[in-house]
Amino acid sequence: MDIELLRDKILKMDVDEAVVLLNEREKRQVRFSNNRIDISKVWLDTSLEVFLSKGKRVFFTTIRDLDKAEEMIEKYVKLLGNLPENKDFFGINPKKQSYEKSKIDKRLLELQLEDVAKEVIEGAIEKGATRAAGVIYRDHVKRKIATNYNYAEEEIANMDVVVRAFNQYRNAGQEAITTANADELKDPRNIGQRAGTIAVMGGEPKDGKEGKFKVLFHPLGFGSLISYSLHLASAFMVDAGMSFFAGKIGEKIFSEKLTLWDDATMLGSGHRTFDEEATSTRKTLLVDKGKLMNYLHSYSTAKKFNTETTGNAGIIRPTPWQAVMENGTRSYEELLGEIDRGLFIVNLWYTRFQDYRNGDFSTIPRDGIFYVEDGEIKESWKGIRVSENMVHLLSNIEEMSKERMWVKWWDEVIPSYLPYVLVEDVRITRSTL
Amino acid sequence: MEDIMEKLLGKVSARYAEIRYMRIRNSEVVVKNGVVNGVEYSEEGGFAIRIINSGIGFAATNRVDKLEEALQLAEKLSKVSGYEAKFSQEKSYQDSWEAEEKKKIENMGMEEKIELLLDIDKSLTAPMKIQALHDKIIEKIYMNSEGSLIKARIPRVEYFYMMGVMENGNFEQSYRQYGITGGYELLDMWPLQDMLLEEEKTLRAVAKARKSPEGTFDLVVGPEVAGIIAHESCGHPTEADRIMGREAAQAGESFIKPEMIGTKIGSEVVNVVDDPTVPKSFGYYKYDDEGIPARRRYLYKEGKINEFLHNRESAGKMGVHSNGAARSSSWDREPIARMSTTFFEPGDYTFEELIEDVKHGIYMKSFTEWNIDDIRYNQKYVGREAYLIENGEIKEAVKRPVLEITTPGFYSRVDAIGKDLEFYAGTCGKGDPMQGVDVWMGGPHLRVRGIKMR
Repeated sequence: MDIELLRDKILKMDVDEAVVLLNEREKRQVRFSNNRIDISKVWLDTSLEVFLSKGKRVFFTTIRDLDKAEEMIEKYVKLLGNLPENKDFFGINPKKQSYEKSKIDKRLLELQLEDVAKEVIEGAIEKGATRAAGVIYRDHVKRKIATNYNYAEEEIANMDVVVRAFNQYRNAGQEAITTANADELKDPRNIGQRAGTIAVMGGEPKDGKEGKFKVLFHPLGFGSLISYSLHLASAFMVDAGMSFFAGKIGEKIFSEKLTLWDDATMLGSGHRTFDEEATSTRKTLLVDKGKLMNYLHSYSTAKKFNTETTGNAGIIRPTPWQAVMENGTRSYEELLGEIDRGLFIVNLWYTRFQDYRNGDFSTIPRDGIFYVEDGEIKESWKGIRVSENMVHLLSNIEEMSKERMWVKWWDEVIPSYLPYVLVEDVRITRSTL
Repeated sequence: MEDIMEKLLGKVSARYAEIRYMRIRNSEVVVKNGVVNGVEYSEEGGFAIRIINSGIGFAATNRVDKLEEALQLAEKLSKVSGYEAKFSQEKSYQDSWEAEEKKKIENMGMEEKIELLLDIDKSLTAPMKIQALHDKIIEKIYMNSEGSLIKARIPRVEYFYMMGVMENGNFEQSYRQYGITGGYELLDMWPLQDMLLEEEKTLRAVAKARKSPEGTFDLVVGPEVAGIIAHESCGHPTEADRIMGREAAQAGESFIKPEMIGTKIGSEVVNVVDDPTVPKSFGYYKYDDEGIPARRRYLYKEGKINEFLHNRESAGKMGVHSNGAARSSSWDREPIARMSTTFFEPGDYTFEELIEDVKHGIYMKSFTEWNIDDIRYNQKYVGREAYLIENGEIKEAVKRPVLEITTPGFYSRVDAIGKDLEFYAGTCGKGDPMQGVDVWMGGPHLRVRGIKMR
């Protein structure tokens, strides 16, 4: 489909601005559980996302029947004139953009996902796990975007390998890596081995205890906290007043150890070269040594906040692409050695806020919860919860590891490149009955 | 469309094959703090093909020109796994059904929808508010190689709000969904504006209230809390695919094992059902997404684990029949075992009777933060609107009481169940890729004895 031609046709209709974004996707998945493949899937999907504006009137649609695209757009243009104004809309980005060439490792497209799954399962079993479950994904997408002001295209591929291994006591270990680089998948067995190793550590899990602990978070678990935080760093949520970041730009609100970017330019599975209004993506410093520097912006939200876009459109609701956190200088083992009486937590899930404005939340550790004494893992725990405040937790970061990992998991963790993170004074609770 | 699907099925070499076509017409308007932030229409649809040979192959495409390719890929993928996938043996059905839509979605203009949300927004003084109104019409054709052919038309309407208030520097928030299978009679079922005004008033009172005291209390929970508990710690752990480990790496497993049918989980007064046939319910259906007729399922009955939620895959593994719980959230998702409307069955107590012999208690009417572990055993619910109960009377409002309890810990201490019944809408998440399906959850008021609260 010639989207520039389509854009030109739209601009001859009664609209001021238009964005036409074509996605052509071939996605593969293999899911496995109990050491065997359950299902192999493929998606062949094409969609056309269209944004229209007339003055401050705006309209979105996604069209999947491309043969009817012009006819449907004509219908929607008629509707546009009757809509009320969106006072928060200040146009799409009019500046001419220059784009990095998108990066793609085409060797990923040759990998046999079922073979990767089998290797991963065998790796977990080798290390003593009794069973393994997981998913292998490969996404291959071609995107083209045309606006009044810009045109761009990109081709991207990436893979996710997720494995959760269990020992005979149902103690679990998880690895959830994501990559756009085939070299990192040369030894998928090793990914399974890492999950298997965590699963068998600590033997039979014991009931955990309540209290305040020093906690070493695995990059996957910390990725969950960072992912939820970045969604609240969207200018949309800040503007709604539903974010603990609101009104804090320029303030030091977190530990000086925390430096955090949203960076879609790095070759990871969150890599992309343009956002949904064709602004070129960039590396955006969000937190610098604990000081809040930026929210995530589209052109329109940036205008409202009197700043520059960060290339994170969603035009109305900016979104994070890929979290990157500064690493430290010490190894994971050295950080574990720092713990006199504390925990090592691999993964978190079901994070829910009772207070977006102040950051009160709780979340549930899983896939490796270990009690650590005098720098050594003593036993595996179960049944605990992190009941915390996000600002408090991020203020108590004591140190990060020098190692960083690419992690992404299900709908919980966005593509992220993160270290192990040591946090002081984390409140742990558990069921009372 | 049926001709194309039948022709395709005829080309498959397989032990079992099915094709499902879905077309979904969506419309949504979002209003944030008095500003119409977004208006969206979309129309999506496509074909999902599932084929069983040695394993299961699945292909989805929205392109008719790619259908043959998708079919060939699904067939190829069904042969790459050595695992002998086995679906339960079921009768085949041919039927066509549509859900009742009293006030047609197509008759509700976008201007009217916008006006509704702006009017609600204007009536509230809360400084932080987001509202969304979403409707959709789903059309499905399901066909399998065993002769089933089911056609369906399902309209659904959903309203969502999020609100935050600030009182003397104290913040309180709430968000809720109201949804039905049907049309804009939703607006007759719930007076949204009045309800939000009441909610705002409640939030302001809670913001000024003192923190709920710690200690051991009798607890009375409202239908909204009963509903989330039924959903999280009865509905999810009885999903057979979880029990069999199929969701282990994502949504998790279950504390329930296949052999635990008949095991005591709670007091004898506890009956929790999942029922896709509740009229107007958000997850209503007559046939599931494998063409199996819907029916009521008693998940916990008289305090015992009674029945699991099955699709044909989990039923095949357990050697039983499907009970019609297979749902796929969209045209490009596989049908997996899901809830529909999950609720505590009502008892015979009035609200006053539940309260009158509580000496020292807490009434948790609604909830805010909640979560549960991935075997559905340890859970937490934080009260949003809550009050102290003293000597049989509701007293002052208290802020954010915390219930952190195990599944048998809660169900075994339920000693009385109200005769009322209310339902609340939700979007239940499960599967990979994620499948958010429309559900109701609910129940009457419940009384639970001797619970440690924070």
